[in-house]
Amino acid sequence: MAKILIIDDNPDILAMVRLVLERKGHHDVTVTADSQEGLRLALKGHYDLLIIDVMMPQLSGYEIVRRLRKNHATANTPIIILSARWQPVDRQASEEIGADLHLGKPVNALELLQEVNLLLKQHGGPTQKHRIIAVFSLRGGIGKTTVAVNLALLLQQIAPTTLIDLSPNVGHCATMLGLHPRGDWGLLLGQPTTTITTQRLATLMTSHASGLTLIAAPPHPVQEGELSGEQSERLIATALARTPLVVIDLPAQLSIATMAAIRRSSHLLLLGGHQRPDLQTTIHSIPLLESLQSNIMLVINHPTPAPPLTKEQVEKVVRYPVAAMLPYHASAAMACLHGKPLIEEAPASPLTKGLKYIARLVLH
Amino acid sequence: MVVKRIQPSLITAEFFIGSYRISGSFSVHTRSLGDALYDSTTSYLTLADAYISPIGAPTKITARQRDAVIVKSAISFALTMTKEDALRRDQRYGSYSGPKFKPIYLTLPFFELEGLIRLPGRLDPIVLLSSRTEAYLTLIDVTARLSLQPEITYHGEAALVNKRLVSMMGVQPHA
Repeated sequence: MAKILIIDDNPDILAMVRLVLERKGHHDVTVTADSQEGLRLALKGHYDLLIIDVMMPQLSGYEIVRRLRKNHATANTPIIILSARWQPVDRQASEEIGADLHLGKPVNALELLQEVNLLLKQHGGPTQKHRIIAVFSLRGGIGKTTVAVNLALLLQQIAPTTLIDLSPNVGHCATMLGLHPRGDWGLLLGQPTTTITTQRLATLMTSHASGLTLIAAPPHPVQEGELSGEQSERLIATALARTPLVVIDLPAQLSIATMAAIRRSSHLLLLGGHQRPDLQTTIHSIPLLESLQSNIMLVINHPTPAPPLTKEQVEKVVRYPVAAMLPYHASAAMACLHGKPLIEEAPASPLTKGLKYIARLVLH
Repeated sequence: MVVKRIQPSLITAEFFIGSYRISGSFSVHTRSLGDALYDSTTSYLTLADAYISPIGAPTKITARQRDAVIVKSAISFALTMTKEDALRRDQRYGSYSGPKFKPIYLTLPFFELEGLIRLPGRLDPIVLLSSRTEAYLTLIDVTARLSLQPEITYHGEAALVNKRLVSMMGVQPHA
């Protein structure tokens, strides 16, 4: 089963193609008639294949493909152009902008399905695509960094992953991984955005024994200035160019760099606690975060042994679906202190299982 | 890169009208485009999802109309992806395959066309352009070249050409 996005302002085409790709192809299909919404969804890089109409109000299909090809997360995603035009010049135009196949309308949905499956096969099937997972909470002390570090290690077991510690106040990712960073993103402060290149980033990266790459936070609090939104985006994009998966441990504050990272991410893992102040923070965070990111996964962590709430109880209070509940685990804090992450220290623990569940969620 | 078109009861065709290229879907549920165009009792064709471009910038879409009506007499020529889309009912059986087709060259406003035309044995080519005969010519394996930008070409398995707008014609009966 592949994740497929169809962008076409013709509702008949959307309905017909969706029906066949879902029923006959067993694919997970998302459709939109709004070209700008389609571009926004596609840029996240969630999809294994895109089907795009050419002529749409606001934004043409050609323009969408151009922008997707410039985006690291979608640079290689298979794209089918659906067009009422079939002349060699039209095919050439589709080819020049980077589409993989040009299909003329009206389209027979069953033959389209064959072309979709063929193209997916040529591209290695519904494979692991680029993901940027931002882990965030406006409330400190609820295990945000623990979740980010362990999630990054779990993802590394599936595909090369980079963990970015964006904390301006001495991040702890390196400590939790038992690493002594040879560089950090603080060295980019005050530098032009254009200096953030793959080569430059390589000098700031530290490797973990698992293969996970860390871009550490500065070892001292950042007193003057901070990463700009543009620098933050560039840092993430450059990391994504090296590894298909990027996990960002965001600071517990909505700075410009944090907001840029949230916008740039494909998934925002919003971490909340189960105590009353935690829930209050979560309730007030969600509307603001929804204006920055549509793909929010609310995860409730239990960093203390206090009696947990059920998922239903939390959902009733926060009025938002809870993607996962992470149980309390006594040695989680100790694992951090020893520089041995939880998934290595207690691989069979319920907390590790909960983290594995989140990893599956973000990948599928 | 492969280009394919998959055809149910709607076809897409290219209509060249003055300096415009109009691509649109035409319903062939009851009759072919050829039958509709040759039908002298109607003066227009209705299209769905019509894309409009200048002929000199064929991929630049300047407008799109969900429903469009085009005036038949203004069409210089129409190109279809398959031969069957263009042939009239009476042209479909036997006579439009085989050795009777002769190379033809035509000039039209902005375009020159090359293709094949069915030419019965003793027919004088001049008769083809007679105003007393039908208003269109049916060509197959057609390449249309923009006169002032010959690098821009359009292709179709068939073309329906408006005889009234043909300014020059050359047929090679023995080619």
